[in-house]
Order: sequence, then structure tokens, then C-alpha cells
Amino acid sequence: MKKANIVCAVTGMIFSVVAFSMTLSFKQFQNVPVGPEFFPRYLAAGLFICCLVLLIQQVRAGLKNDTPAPTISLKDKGMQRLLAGAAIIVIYALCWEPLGFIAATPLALFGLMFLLGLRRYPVMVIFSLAAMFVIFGAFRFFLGIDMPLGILDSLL
Amino acid sequence: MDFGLIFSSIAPVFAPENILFILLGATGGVLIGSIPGLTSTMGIALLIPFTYGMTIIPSVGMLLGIFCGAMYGGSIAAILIKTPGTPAAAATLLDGYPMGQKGEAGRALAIALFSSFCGGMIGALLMTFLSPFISRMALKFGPAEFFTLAVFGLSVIISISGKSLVKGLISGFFGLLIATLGMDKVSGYLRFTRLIGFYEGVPFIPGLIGLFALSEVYANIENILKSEKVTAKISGVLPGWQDIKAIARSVVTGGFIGSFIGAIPGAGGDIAAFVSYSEAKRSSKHPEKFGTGIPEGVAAAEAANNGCTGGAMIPMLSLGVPGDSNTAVLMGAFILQGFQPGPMMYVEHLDIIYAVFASMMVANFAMLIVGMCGVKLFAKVISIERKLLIPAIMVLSLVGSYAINQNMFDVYFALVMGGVGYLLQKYEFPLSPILLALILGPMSESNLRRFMQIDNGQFWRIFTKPICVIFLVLAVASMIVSVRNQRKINKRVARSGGDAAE
Repeated sequence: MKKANIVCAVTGMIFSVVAFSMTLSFKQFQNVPVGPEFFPRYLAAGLFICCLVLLIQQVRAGLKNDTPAPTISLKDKGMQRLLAGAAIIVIYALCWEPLGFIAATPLALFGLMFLLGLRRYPVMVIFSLAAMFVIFGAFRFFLGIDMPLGILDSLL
Repeated sequence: MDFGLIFSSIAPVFAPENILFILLGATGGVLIGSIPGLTSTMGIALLIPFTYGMTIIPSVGMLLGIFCGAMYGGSIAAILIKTPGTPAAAATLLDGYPMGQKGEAGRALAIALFSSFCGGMIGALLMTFLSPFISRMALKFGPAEFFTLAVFGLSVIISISGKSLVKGLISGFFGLLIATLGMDKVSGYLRFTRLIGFYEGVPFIPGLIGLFALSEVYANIENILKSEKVTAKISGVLPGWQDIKAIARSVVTGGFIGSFIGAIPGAGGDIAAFVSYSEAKRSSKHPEKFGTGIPEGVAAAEAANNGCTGGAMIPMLSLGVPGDSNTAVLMGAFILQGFQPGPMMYVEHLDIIYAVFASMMVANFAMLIVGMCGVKLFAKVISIERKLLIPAIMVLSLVGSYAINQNMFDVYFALVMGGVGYLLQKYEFPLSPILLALILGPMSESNLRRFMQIDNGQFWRIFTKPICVIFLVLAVASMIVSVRNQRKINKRVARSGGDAAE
């Protein structure tokens, strides 16, 4: 975990330095004791200090009680599945407007179930369609929320 | 006291449709709570979009039902599979699981249900009688007092930091920094971004759904093959008279401990349950039996975590500061309905306040009924195939994010926050401080700036205001106590882990 924590601390420090430097370009208001730059600037400094403390803690800590860190490796099957799953979810979200919720949802549900290792196709098809209809019905007709209809916009 | 107003306010709560919504919420809460990885916060966040079209009473009633139900539901998985359904049920497994191992799973679940109900009722009663007094005092608050109140609220980031204080603080600062994205509410200046989606600040509910629900979806996709398949047999729905006599003291003490710890903003059911368990063990005639499967251990933990539900509502309703992540989400639901929790609500919407008190008590009865009727059925939820459940949660999360403003930006933001939440959890950075920071960050900033404007930039004058000094002292005391308690819990968890390994 030590190495992972060092990477996290350095990432946090870079993030805070970028945020701090951005606050330097914020507009200065006249006759205002505390402007819009005040809070983010101090928060960025606070984040930097905490990350620095984490970094020092990890550098000074020995490896004796070190616990194994969760790895992010593309060779790991779980990580491959996660990336594929994240891709399905992102593509699904991007398809909402062009394809519409009704068309995109069963495809995404089926794809995700397949990715998770389910192979009972009748169950997958029925569940995908049923979940889509229940959620769409609940939001559209029960709550009156206009879900994106995409290609079905002219039909419904 | 205007009894006419009280009766006219609480009467709608007992309308059949409202009782039905509370029962539905309690059922959903027990279901969600019994599934490890699904928290009550996530359940409430997921169901908020369903309340958009409702009026305040059924919507809050349903969400309170989830809140109470999930607290009890967490014990089901803790007792049956040694995995707390919610973090608040972590202490329940210390004696609940050994009881299950001894063939007393039904007895343990019945004790958990009874204790949860009693603890919840104690919390609800304390909420009813204490919060009006606190809110009356809060009416005297100005910007300086609200700023120090927010600082006090933020100070409990330490108590919810988990194993690493530094990581909790990093999460807190990260959340506070994110909360400054978009238009500055005081000057109207756009900070860090010119994206239209951030014009009104960070989208709170999509961020919340991303952090708590989508991050779990990502984690479950990665670890789906490691999930345990569980089957369990259950018998009995309420404890016997002998058990009730044995656990009575633990239940009452646990209910009060839970309510008081819950009332401290940021201190949740998990801490309350451990403190109550510790107290029950300390005051027991046979402390050596704790951890081997005794009813008092289950009762103390469950009464405390359910006592927290009412306790956590006290600062939310009376001060506008959420007591924990659940009430933070509930606060979002109030705001979406056009009500700002806080002292002014006791002046402008006292009828709603009375209705909330009544709903809380009805929610506890609903939890008891649902638990008695469905405990055998709920145990089966644990064995629902996650390969079906996870995709459904994903769709609900995205739809929930979209439904608030009906724009795709919120959906994309939820996806990003889901990724951030997944990475932070993977590397053991707690998420609750981010949530607390997103809520209290804007409050602390705007009030500090207003105070500085009024007092010509003389910050030291904050120390001349008695209420501010009290809050600052409380903040420091809360930090010190939190650090000490967390060390104790870490030691206890390490010891119980060591015992289990042996």
C-alpha cells in the first residue's frame, strides 16, 4: 500500500498546485475583504499540506507492516471486466440522446449481464426488457419526467 | 403549544397512501440494507428521483422508511454471512454471526429487529422533543455563527475518516475544493470552469449518486466473481420474554447512546454501534462472553445504530446541518421539495416539522412490521444474483442523475464522480468527508465572506461572539474525541480480526 499511497499523495499535490495556480488568475474585487479566490486558494494549500503529510508518513514508514495495495493492471481479469463495463456504461449514456432510453437500455443491460458472466439468455432478454419498461414507465408516467426518446421521438 | 396545528399536521401522515409509501420505503430500505455494498445513503439517493412528483409528506415519509429500514436490514447480512449489510451493522456481526453459527440466526435476527425498533423509537422521541429547543436558539444565528457551525460540522470529518486521519482530511479538502467549482454565489464570478453545467455550482445529487452508487457498480463489476453465494434458514420473528428481559438494559442504553452520537454532525451509526457495544460490554456482568454470540451484544449495536436515525435528524432539522450522510441526502430531498431545513423551518413550516416527527415514528413501526413479515423473505435477497442486480442499479443511477434537471451534463458528471469514488475507495480514501464537504463547503464560505464584509475584514471579532466560541470549542473537542475513539475502534477491530483469524 506504501507505493500506492505515495502515488496518491503526489497526484494530490499536483492537483492542489494546479488549483492554487488557477486561483491566481481569479478576478480581484475592490473593497471586498474576502474575494472569490480566498477559499479555493486556502483549500488548495490545505490539500497540498495533507498530501505532503501522507507522503512523508509513507516515506518514513518501513515495509514491515505494509499491506498489499489493490493493483490497477490491465492483465488483471477484474480490471479488464471493469474497463469493458465502464465502456458499456459510458457508451450507453452517450446513446441516450441519439438512440433514446427505450432502445439503448435493454442493449446496455444485456451487454452488462453478459459481461458479468450471465449466460441464461431468456432470463437476460426478459429482465432487460422488463427493467427498461418498469423504469421508463415509473419515471415517464408516474413522475412526469421526459426521458430522452431518440429515434422513437416521432412515434411516442 | 398549538395542539390544533399538531393534529392537523400529523393527520395527513396517517392517510392510507402515506402509510403505504412509508411501508414501501421501509421494505426497500430493509432490502437495500441487507445487501452488502448497498448502503442506506445509496438507497435514499436512488429513490429521491421517484419523489419529484410527490408532495413533501409522502416523499419524506418514504425516504425515512428507507433510512430506518436499511439500518435494520444491515444486520441481516451481518448475522447470516458475517458481512455487514451497511457499515453501521459492523458491530452487530461481533455477536450476531457467532449466534448464527450456533444455529440461532432466527433468534439473533429477532433480537436485532426488536432492538432496532426500540432504538429507533428512542431516537425519534428525542428528535421530537429536543430539536425545537435547538432551533429556537439557532434563530439568533448570524453569518459568523453559521460559519463556526459549519466549521463544527466539518470537524467531524475526522470521526468519519476511518483508519487514516490524513486520508480523511485529503477527502475533505478535495470535496471542499470541488464545492467551489462554478459560479461564486457571492460575487457571481465563475471559478475554475466555464461549463454551463456548473453555473449553479456542483450538481449535488448526481455527484452523490456517482460517489456512492456508481462507484459500487464499478467495484462490483470488477469483483463479481469474488461475491459469495449465500443460503440461510431463518426461524422466529420476535424475541422471547426471557431475551427481552436480558437485553432491555442494552437496548435502552444503546438507544440513548445512538441518539446522542447521531446528533453530532458526521458521527454515524457505525461509531454509535461500536460505542454502545463497548458500553454494554463494560457494564455487563459477563463481559468475557461478548464476541461469543450473546443477545446483549446484538441488541446494544442495533439499538444504537437505529437510535442514530432520530439523532442524526436533530441537527439537520434544527440547524440545517446533516447529522450523517443519510440525512445529508434527506436534506437534498427537502431542498428539492422547496424546503430549507434549519431554524427558519420551525417558523415558516412548523406543520411540516410535526409531520416529519410523526413520519419518523410511523417509519419505525413500518420497519417492525416489514421486518416481522419479511425476515424470511429478506434473507433470500442476499442470494439474489448480483449479475442481475448490478446492471439494474447502473440504469437507476443514471436515470436518477438525469431526472433532477433533465440534462445529460448531470449524467456525465455522475459517471465521472463514480470513477473518482471508485478510485478513492480502492485506495482507502473515505467518501463521506467529500459528501460532508459538498454540503458544508458552500455554507461555510458564503457565511465567512458575509461576516468579513459586515465586520470589515476583522476575523478576530469571531472570538468575541459567545456562540461562535462555543462552536469552535466543540469543534476542537469533537476532533480530539474523534481521534481517541477512532484509535480505540481501530484497536478493537484489529483485535477482533486477530481473534477471528485464530
